[in-house]
Amino acid sequence: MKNIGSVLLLWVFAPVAVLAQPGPQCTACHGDQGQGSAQAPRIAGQPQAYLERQLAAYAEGARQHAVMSPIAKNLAPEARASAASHFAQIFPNAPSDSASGATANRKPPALVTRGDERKQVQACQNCHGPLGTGQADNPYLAGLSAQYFQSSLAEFKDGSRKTDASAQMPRIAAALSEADIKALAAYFASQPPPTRTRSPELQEAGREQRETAPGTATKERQGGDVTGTEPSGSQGPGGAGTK
Amino acid sequence: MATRLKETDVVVLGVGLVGAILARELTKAGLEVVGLERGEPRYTVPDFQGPAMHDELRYSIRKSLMMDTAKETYTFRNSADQTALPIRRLQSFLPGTGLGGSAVHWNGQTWRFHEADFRMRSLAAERYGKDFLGPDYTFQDWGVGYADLEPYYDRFEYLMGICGKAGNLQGKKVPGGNVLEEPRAREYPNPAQKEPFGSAMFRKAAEGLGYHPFPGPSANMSRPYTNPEGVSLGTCMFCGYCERYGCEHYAKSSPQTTVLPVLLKEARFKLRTHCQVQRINLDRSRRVATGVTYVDGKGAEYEQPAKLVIVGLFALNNVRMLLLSKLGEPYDPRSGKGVVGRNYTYQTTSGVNVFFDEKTNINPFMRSGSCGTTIADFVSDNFDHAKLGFLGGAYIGEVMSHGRPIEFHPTPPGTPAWGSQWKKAVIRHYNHTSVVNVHGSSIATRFNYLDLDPTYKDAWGQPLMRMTFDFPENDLKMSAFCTERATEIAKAMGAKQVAGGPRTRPYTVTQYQSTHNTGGTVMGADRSTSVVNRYCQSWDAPNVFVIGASNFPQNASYNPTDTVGALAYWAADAIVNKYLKSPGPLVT
Repeated sequence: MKNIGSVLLLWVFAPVAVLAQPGPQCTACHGDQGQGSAQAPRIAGQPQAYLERQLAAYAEGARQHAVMSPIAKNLAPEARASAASHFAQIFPNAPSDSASGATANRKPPALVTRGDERKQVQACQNCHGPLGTGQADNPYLAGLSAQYFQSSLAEFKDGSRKTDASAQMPRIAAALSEADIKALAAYFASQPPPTRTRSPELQEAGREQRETAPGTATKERQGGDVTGTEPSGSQGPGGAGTK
Repeated sequence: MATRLKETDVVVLGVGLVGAILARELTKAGLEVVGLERGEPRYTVPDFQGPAMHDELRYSIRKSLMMDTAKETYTFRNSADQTALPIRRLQSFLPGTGLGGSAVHWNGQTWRFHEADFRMRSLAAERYGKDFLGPDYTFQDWGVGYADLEPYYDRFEYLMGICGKAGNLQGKKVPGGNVLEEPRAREYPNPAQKEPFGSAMFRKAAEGLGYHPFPGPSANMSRPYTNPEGVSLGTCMFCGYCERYGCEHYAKSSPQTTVLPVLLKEARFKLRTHCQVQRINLDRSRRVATGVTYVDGKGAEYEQPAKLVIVGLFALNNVRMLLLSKLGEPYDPRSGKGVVGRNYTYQTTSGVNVFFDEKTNINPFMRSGSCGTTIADFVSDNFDHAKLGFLGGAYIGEVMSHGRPIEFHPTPPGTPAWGSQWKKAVIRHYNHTSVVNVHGSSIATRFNYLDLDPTYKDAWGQPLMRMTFDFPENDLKMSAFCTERATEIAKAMGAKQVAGGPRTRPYTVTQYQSTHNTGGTVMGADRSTSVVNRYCQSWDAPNVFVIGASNFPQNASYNPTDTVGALAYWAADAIVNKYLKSPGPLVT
């Protein structure tokens, strides 16, 4: 039954599911290249896993939005994966307006780099990468619109956004004041987005380069003499594997 | 000359796990408490934040959170006929320093001991006969039993928000939990952490062999938690940087994330950091402590008078503090007389590497300090020792705390130790190797002990403490037996190759094994074989309480922290509800 449903959806939303190029239901708000607009956040270059997770959340009600929820509900998982993959591979562009450029070097709020002990909130960049430029499957924050950032935090705060399995974001959002959130939103909006993508091809290329480049890392001093391990022993926890 | 300060009700030596709990309980009882900490003040923000916190060279190799061995350390030898030398690079064990103590850089394994541990001498005699091991072994009863400590274990685990699954609720066995544990009054405050892939393979293999696997209890949070003190923790991110690191996410229980936020707001508590306590001062009768003398960060000497002295230092330093203060009779291994420094024990660890094919991805980097699956079938006296000729045991588990790049590169035996073949092997095996740990007990003997070194001194001119230790025959037998069981399970996990072996002599301080240094200020019912009574109160000076793993008469199969926390609450309760009402010896 589920398969038949998927087939029907594929038929209804043929452009999205079949073609690599997502249809107007994405680009109308997020822009042709996913660079965002006044209505919708930049999604270009966000991790594929993150984008897929958001679409699944909209489809299943773990996140709600008047426009996104119905769109996601109508997309088969394959179509969501394909759209996520498409936008994940596009380079985010720096915002073109000069105001943003002028403020690009401003000092980040302490919450970005340091955290707040009084509020028991760790620094954003622990998970979102240096200055919020993204890390692993966690989204980048730099270059997101202030409005989107604020509404996201508000959704975490009121519990309507349930996309963080660890529940760290709801805890953090609840501890932050409106002024904190506003200051963070303004800072990230003023920053250029990261000029790299999570493209699997690029990652693969990087890996190949590393593996074929002769002599890399040979000058690194590693191994037994600095870690106190017997030469033939491995270094597992608890001295595992030692003679 | 020392500047004499205003007297306080209580002075707490060391503001780590024990110090923070005692200070909290005693200020709640209305007492003025001064906390003296030798290291620096430090907090989740800004001191433990990424990306700096994940500097493996700084924290794991150079051991930035540990005791500064340029200022003070221990000397070590394997036996009394050797000359001990100072340990200048910490390797085998890692005493922490600074606010929060070693509970900042721990992994988070939080286990309750067994009745067979607390009453080891009498229960072993009942089951195996009085002279089962012979006269060289000095293991003994604790003076407290599991039932005494159960409410305090409970209290500590709820403070810390420990994650696990009970296997014995008020005597009712619960499948999936540790069915071999002693009864708990109630379930853990939080569910167990997620089971990693390697642990799942361990669980299936152990089940297939007829054992009883269960998730190891962890102080790395499985969900957000607010403890009875009103302090909140966040969920663990499985970053693999627990042991030797502070947690950036408020996700690992430590004094900083459980009790210090409320304690530091308490007006009756005064924290003084960079204070090196030199000694506990005693009056002329040497039966009453009058306070302590310490040197601050500028080198100025102070006398802090106090009505009550709480010694809550790292286990080894509890012993040293009593020796430096000449409080209690030092142990003499020749006569067997004396108590301070007697029954020093350790932890007998070993393990096996489990090498898989390249289709099996272990992802060792995606772990917490204590998530993993374990069995207690060979713990303590959970199995019959009659024909084995040793006492004690080990838990066996797939508890990989990390896959950090500098420290973790398992290669099969026969791999060259360096060069291109070694690199190839590291790349081949890094993500396809699991580790099965054997975490074993340590029995007390006449020969292993702590005393003051006759030669070497610290930066303040005080003698260093000397450790005399080697693995007893009993523990080598235990390790051989338990490591064999671990190897069988590892093979049943579907490994292509299993490599490892039991712990052997000599004990070396140049390889990391465990930071579970225990004993030396042993608790007990008989003052000729213990330093403190069952309430952790000094037999010699009743206004001194010594609390920590130094109270263990011998070390059990499990990690010590839960029992240290339980003893802290147990002693605090005795002070507040017994001692304060009638100051004096609580046991006569």
